[in-house]
Amino acid sequence: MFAGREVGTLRSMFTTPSALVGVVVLATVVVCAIFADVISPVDPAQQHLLYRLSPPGTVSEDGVTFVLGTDGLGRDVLSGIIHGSRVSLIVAVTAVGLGMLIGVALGLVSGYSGGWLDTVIMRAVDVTIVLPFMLMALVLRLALGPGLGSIVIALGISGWATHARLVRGEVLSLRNKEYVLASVANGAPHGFIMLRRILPHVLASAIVLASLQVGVTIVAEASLTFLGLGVPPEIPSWGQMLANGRDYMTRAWWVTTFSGLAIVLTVLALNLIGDWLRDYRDPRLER
Amino acid sequence: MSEAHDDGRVLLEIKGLTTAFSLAEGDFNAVDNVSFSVKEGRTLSLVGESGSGKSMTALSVMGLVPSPGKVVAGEVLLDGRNLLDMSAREMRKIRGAEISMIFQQPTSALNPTYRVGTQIREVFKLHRDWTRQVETEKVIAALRAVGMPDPEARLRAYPHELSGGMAQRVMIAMALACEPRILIADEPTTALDVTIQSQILELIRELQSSSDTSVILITHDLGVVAEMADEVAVMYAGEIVETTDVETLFDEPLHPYTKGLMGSVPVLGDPRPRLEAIPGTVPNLTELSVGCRFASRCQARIEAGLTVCQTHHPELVEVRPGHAVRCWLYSGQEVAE
Repeated sequence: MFAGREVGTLRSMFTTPSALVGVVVLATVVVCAIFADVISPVDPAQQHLLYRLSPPGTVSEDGVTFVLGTDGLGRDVLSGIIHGSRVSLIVAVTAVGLGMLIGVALGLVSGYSGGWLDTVIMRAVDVTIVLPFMLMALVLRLALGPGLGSIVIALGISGWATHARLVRGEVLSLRNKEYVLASVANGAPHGFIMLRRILPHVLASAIVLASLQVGVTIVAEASLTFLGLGVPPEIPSWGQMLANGRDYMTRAWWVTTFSGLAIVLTVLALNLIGDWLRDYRDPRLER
Repeated sequence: MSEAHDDGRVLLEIKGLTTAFSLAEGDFNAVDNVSFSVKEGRTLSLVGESGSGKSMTALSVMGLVPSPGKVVAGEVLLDGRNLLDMSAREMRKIRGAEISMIFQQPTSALNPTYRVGTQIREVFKLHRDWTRQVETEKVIAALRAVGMPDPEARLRAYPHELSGGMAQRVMIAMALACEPRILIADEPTTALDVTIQSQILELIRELQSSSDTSVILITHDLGVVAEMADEVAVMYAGEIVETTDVETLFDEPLHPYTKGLMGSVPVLGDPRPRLEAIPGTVPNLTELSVGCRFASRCQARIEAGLTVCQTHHPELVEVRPGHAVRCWLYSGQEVAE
């Protein structure tokens, strides 16, 4: 039965062109991230000083082709983008995962218990949502100090509130379902009901939200890095490349264009997948 | 059903149960000073219109009154232990194991994301310390006991794959899995069509007689009452207005409301051209009059020329052994003969 449902999922994916495009693009990015060392033509940190700011397609004397050109220090842009996908994906996925973990847990407790606890958690959500996401991440990152870990925490904490609000809303309607009442009537304790009876229903929409959030978070990470508050400069990242390329934008358009394109395509792919997931889950939309 | 007067041991006794709600529109008692007792192996039926407090009485017994409701007075004695004094932990041990409940909508009382077998197994996980294999055997046995065809395969079915009748059988299997002493059935057949309805009632009766379970049957259907109940308590606007055994109730209903209910049931071969309806509607519980709650709809009061009904609230008075009525027509000097 479960297998049947998964076959249905796959079929729906292949019959929705936008979803297919999203999956293909994202899969490419994931493969790049995993096999960056194998795929990338040269070491992204290696400086080919003689070939600084070479346009795309330049071939060096020792036979290296700079497919997407080089940056101001003669580093290969393509290799940088391939390696940069690692940071983007890891930071975004773990940050969203962290935010989802906090948000789902608090939303579950908030919606289920109600009363003053609900009020406290929801006011905290309001406060978090009122602050602009970037500003919040920026302040948190400054408070936490440099390092990859603190970026993840800063972005994760900035994103928990939407999850908490979404989950709470769903829990409120699920809490009064007869099957939840039936579970209580069977003598089930609260923890059991929350984790086994309510959580599975909530998780699907939380995952949809997360898939859309990953895109936003990639942009946020790149923005933080662009501002010099994100990923340390020694790790290749898309935000860093954008920042470096900015100074040469009039002379060497390829540095910023291709790293920017990498961000745009990845986020677009995630949004296409997220949209499809949402539609697929919603039985009211004919598929 | 016929030997309604013999003495069974009282298993569950409810005394003065009062459940209050306090809403923005005002405070009211959804269940008001309700007392009844359930004997071992017998069926008590709570009858009344929607909003009369039947379901809320059952939820109060289970300790499942939804917020902002609260049981404010009374006792629920199971073998002399007051359930209302129990801690949440103790109460969880009672629910599902000693008192269990089946609901009106079987398809919505089953969790759509879990297989049927998993949901029955839940009860064992909560109340029994069995190995997985024993649990599976017991789940199959429970499904077989409720007449589920091919229980080994149905175990793996999801609720949406079952018909309403089959889903209600699963609910009954789940409710009776731990052999509870009391089964509360809240309109168990209302959502089912008539042929399935009789099958389900038959099943409940069979299981009841084989295991000596007591049943509290909540219904608005007097046909179901006649078929199933030993004792009946008629509820109106949160209180019991008449209580007696089932035969007396049908032979000799006393309260004008009970009579009205009887009159509104179609009978085969009945020469009446129209069914009689009780005029008016159930009063709003937040604005009850000081008098009898049924007074505004009561024809008998006008015919008897009683005025006390609108000024004084009648008590539930035993007019003969085992038959009590809350009506001025039958109490004290006001008895109309």
